[in-house]
Amino acid sequence: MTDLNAVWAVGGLMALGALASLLFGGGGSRRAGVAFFAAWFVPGAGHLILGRWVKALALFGLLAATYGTGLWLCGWRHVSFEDNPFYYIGQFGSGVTMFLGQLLGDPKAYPREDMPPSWFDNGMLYMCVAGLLNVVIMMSVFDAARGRKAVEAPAPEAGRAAP
Amino acid sequence: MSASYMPYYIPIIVIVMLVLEICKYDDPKTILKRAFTNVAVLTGVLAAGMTAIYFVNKYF
Repeated sequence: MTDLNAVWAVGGLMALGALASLLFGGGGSRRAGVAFFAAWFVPGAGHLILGRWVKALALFGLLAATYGTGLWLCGWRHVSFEDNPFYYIGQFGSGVTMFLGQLLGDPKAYPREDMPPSWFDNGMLYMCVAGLLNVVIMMSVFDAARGRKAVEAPAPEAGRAAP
Repeated sequence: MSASYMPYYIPIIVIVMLVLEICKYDDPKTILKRAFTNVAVLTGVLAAGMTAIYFVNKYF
């Protein structure tokens, strides 16, 4: 399977999943499904759909900064399978990181001449981590959409109760 | 030309911890406190491991 075919296959599967939840999901599960797939496509979009816009903005900002830094370090080119198979697969954790890499054209990252070559690996790691962290965010969206609340902040200790 | 990886270690660790805590908690203070505590603990564990490896390589 070529690079582009893999991108279209994953993108198509996620779009089908979103469509299926929209068409066949009822009430809460429709919302959960749409939020889940939106969270895959754009980091933070799932939280935005659930009305948690502060979290959405924070997550989008963090992941955009991570991916942007990675791209910058790799000369504005995404990770190819030949560079590192693990980092390459990591990019599929988010639709934006997956499609943006393809839109940038040249399918291979290379070390920038104006930077130390050892930073090139960091760039690929940053791009991969942006995708992988989005998978965690998707799980969080799914939990939140199904009504599970975030963990309450631990209360300050006011003294131990008597046994 | 070679350069240290270190400038890129702290930002990525902070981002990973922040995202994990944002997913778990709603309160910004709790998020920041727990994220930076985890960064410190992880850095400490890695530093201890590096030190141990350094001495193992040097003396054994």
